[in-house]
Amino acid sequence: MTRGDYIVLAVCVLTLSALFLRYGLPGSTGTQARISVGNSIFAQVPLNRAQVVRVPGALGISEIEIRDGQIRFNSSPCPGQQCVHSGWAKRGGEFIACVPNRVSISVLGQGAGGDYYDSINF
Amino acid sequence: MRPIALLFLCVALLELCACSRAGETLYKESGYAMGSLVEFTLYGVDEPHAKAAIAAAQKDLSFLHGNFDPWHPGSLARMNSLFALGGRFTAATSVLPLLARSTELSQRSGGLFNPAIGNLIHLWGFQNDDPPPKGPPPSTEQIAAVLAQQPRMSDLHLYGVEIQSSNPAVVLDFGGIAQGYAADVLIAGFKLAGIRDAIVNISGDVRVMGSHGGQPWRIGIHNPRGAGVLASIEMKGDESIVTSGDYERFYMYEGKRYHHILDPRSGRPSQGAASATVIDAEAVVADAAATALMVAGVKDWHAVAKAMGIKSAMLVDDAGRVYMDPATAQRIHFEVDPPPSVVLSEPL
Repeated sequence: MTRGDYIVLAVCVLTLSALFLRYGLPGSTGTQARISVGNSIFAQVPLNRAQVVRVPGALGISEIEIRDGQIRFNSSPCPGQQCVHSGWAKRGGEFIACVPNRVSISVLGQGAGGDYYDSINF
Repeated sequence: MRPIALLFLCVALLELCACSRAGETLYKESGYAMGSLVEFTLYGVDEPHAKAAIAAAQKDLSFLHGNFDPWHPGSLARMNSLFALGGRFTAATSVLPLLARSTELSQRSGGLFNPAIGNLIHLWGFQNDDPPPKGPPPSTEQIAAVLAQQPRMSDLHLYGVEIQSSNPAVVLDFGGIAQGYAADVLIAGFKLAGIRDAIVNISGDVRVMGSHGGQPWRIGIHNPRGAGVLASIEMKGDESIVTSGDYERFYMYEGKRYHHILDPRSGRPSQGAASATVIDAEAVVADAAATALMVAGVKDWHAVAKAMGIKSAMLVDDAGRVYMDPATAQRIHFEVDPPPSVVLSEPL
């Protein structure tokens, strides 16, 4: 390779590294999740720290568990338990809601606009 | 330039393209409106403009809900009361467009989508937004009594803006179509406001327009028999995707699941399908068809989709097996590992 090739190569590697550091991999798993109650944000939580968040909703307490970069409804006072059966969410744009208790979880993608899903059909 | 350097340059340019979504102006807002979870996603619009458009959309939604709610005082509740009396009266004009679409779609579905069965829905207790009933399910005699009345959309007769029912048992409940209709109305409102790229998601019924900065919108489809997302699909332009499922509203009674999608033929919850997904330009069509396909089940979904003019549909049965037409199979990307077994139908 000539000196020019090395320069192009170096520029490419630096550009890629900068883009990766700034935005992360497009469509990768989320790093944070937003928990909402009704139309208000209750908390924004990191997905890399295991914890259980107790969220008071319209019917009672929804227990939300965060573990290994994932988040789920552990328990809910709602009659249908659809939110609990939805299981874990981890990818940016994934969304679980407990409509009766008015509690919802949105996984936030990495960087600006990094959500893997733009919306969820259910 | 040597090939290797050229290759790296190409890769770098591709990465730049892949990251082009990152510097976008994407505005998302979600919340509860009238017992429904509503999510707005707008692209390429500054925040004040987006907020104003969403506030207007929420007002529209509130207006539509007030007009289409059969179980609380309002336009539709009044019409249902007057149908029972049998006389001719002036219909609420705000209800007429949805009534016309419902009649047409009910006919095309062979009556499997039937919004005239409000009495049956009430008998099962699925008329309220929440919570669902606890059971026990209604008795065979109670169901038979309601079915014997045979309420159908064709029992309604329009004379300009006047309407009359030839069957006093017609009670309209637009639960299987109103959200799709509302999604179309809100997208039309966004268009009027000069917005080109948006998603409206009303309780899971998704209507998209335009694109996500030139890229298709990526929509996740809920897994009816497992956790999270079953599959994803990329959508662009005027498209909608609606899923009806037995997991949305149901109750368990003595170990059996009773869900809210009622088969107008048996008077009981539909059987065999866990969910039915329909893709169509209009959410109102996709919504009615998804209900009809759930009722049609594994055996008849294809014929009913064809009769309704649907070009793309997917059904998941109780065992998690997926049925779809080849065009849908080309677009669907399964997000579960291992992917489910798929039964391909004839093209729609």
